[in-house]
Amino acid sequence: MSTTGGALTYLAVRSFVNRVRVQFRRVKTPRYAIAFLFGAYYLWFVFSGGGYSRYRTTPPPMIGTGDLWPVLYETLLAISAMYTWLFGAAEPAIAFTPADVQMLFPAPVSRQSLVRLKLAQVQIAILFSVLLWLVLLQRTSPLPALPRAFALWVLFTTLYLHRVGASFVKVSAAQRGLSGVRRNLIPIAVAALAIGTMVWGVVDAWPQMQPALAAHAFDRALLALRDSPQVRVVVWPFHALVAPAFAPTFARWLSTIGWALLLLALCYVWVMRAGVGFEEAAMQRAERVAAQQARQRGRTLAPVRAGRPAFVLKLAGHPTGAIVWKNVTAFKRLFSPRQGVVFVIATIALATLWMRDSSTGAGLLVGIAGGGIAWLALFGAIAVRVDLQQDMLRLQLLRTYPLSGAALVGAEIGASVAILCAFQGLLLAVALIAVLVTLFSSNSAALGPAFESWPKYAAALIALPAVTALRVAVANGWAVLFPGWVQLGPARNAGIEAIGANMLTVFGSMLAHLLLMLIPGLIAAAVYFGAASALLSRGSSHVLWPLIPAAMMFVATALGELWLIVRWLGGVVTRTDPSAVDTALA
Amino acid sequence: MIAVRGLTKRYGEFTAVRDLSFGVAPGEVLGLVGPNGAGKTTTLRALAGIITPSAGSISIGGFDMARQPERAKALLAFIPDEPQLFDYLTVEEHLRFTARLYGAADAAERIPELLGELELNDKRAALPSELSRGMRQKLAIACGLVHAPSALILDEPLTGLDPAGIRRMRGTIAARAKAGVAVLLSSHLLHLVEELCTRLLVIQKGQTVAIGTIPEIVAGRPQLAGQGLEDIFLALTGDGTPSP
Repeated sequence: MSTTGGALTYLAVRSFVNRVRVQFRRVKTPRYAIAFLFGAYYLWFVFSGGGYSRYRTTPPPMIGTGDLWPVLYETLLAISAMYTWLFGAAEPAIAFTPADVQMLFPAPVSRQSLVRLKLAQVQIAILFSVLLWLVLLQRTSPLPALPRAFALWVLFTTLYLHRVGASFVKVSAAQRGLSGVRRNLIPIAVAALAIGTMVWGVVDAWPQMQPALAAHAFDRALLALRDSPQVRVVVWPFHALVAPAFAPTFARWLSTIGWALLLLALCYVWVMRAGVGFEEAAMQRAERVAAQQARQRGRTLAPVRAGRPAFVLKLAGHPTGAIVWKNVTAFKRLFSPRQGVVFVIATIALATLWMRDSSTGAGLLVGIAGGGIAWLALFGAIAVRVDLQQDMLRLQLLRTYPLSGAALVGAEIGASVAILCAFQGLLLAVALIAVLVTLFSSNSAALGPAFESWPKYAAALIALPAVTALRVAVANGWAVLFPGWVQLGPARNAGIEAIGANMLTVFGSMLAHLLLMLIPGLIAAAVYFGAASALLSRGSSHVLWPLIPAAMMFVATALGELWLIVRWLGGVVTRTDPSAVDTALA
Repeated sequence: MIAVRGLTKRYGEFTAVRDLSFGVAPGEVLGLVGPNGAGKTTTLRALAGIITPSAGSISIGGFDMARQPERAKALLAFIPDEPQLFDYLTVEEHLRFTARLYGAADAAERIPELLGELELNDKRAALPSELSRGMRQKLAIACGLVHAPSALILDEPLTGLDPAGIRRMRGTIAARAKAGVAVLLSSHLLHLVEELCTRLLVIQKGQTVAIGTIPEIVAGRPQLAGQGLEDIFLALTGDGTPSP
């Protein structure tokens, strides 16, 4: 082995080993261990078909069985290959890191060695894909796992090499100063030829396809098309790659794997002999990706331009006002609510015209608005993340502010609650307009039953901000307590423990929200039933009216809970070492 | 203005800072120097209230950082080596935000002055993503100064600045000290430390190695007489590399 070859092998092996070690070290931490176990259980549950076998008497439909599935996969591969050639960027499909660029590009390492290194490094992802597909295809035929795994490895590696080769051709064309259609002249010609041949195949196979289409048997029509000689020629490379993975017997596998290996060898030779100077384009790509990642690690997405702030911040006033202003301004700039407002106004205008004489339309609109309001209360905190779900990444900065932990947490939560309540208010306005339009229309009688139960709606409206605030508090609490489990900022984690962490976050947050609503709910229920039974004993029929004081009681209790949560989280924020958050996210 | 007594910070079994005591009077510039991993950043972070000491006390302007952190922090500005900014706030909005946060209602006049002083006037409507590294550092410095702090803690403040920016920043620090601000400056740029600082605190492995003016430090170590700060630093921190 040459010196550089040995060094690159060392780099590939040590990188892999160290990555695994870091993952295992993380899993030693209890919170990651729990997340890992959840993720592993989830994967086992999905792949073992546990969800079906437990509740179904009949087995689930197999994925990839019959003749149709290989044809579909071939078609998808053909479309994907065409897309790569026609629309792929003129930059190498090999991902070089800034460290690669800085240390390997100036080193006496040949381009072939660099490509071989990347091919070795991508094997982890390829082997993971092989494992995944092996599980998915396990019950499609009695073919043993090993030959099938090998066939899948050949398939994925060939596809990777093909993508790299195609990107090299595009880089080469760009280096020759070609652009636009001229750069893609050959791919366009090949694609046109392929499409023309396919059309010819359709014409040829039409007598067989027509009866199948008439009987709505689209699978038979597709198979008939696939059997035409013209289409067979066009999709042959993809068929040759897919066939061994779907081979029903070992003998069939043996007879097909040779062609797949030949394609793999051709792609390998093609890429290795390309001799394209990809360094500059690779460097530009690495810099772009690094800048993007730095911005993500740097804690938030950057808006395209500043625009006006949410409102003018007065210099005098309580410091928490600055936090609220910052977060509302961030929301305005990062989430572009202008389109949202235009959308809401347009919806209101259209709805007003549309429902002038229709109570059904008004009902529909009220339903949509109600659904939106409920969604915002229960899940809006996940969408509006301009609070500690982002700012925990800037804990070091926050800790220098002359604010108590509780004041800081209260302001962070308050900003998100204000944003969500504002949107809920807009949706409420939509619903109210719909009701008012109906009220002054000929269909006003249709509102009769709704008016009779107005205390229900009033109670829901009273309780709504408290429900929303509790949900936001839970989301923020999760970010403070489990920063390694939550997606802080735009960066996404990967791995089994990340799957488990996401599950724990989603279900844990929902459970915590429910638990937090339990005590206010029980107190509100006690108030309601007490008052309602008193009314009934006096012969009153207004049994819904006590819902309003019950809702007020719900709000009062929820506010008490919020006060406790904010104080507790404030203490946690004050005690948390910012470097511990960075470590949790590393 | 800044008083530190017995500051200790432990991470598990590792002690990053051990029993550190010093003070910085108004108008004084104390240079905090030490080799990499000496505990400088840990010390500064503890002083800024970012991390909680394992033992000891920190007081800023008479307010204890553990018992009255908000009052202590209100007098303080911490400028880290890596500027931490909000990507969605413009330069001027950063200053207004910081002023409101620190209760500096009188900052309206100071904001344009600072923008001019740090050459950020042309960038007042720019987002941090539109600024160079040096400009971002200047903005972080401006944010630190907008509420006219009584104590200034600077961790490698010249990182990323061009020569003109470095000269201007030196002037800014000196002017603040002259105006009575207590300045604690950590830097590896020994010529800057020598030029600006009235006293030095040399630490190694989290412990005080020497504290005082350069003549005071040399007075207790006759073998260092006549040597420059670089040689004094290397001798104090145990790096015996002879000067060329």
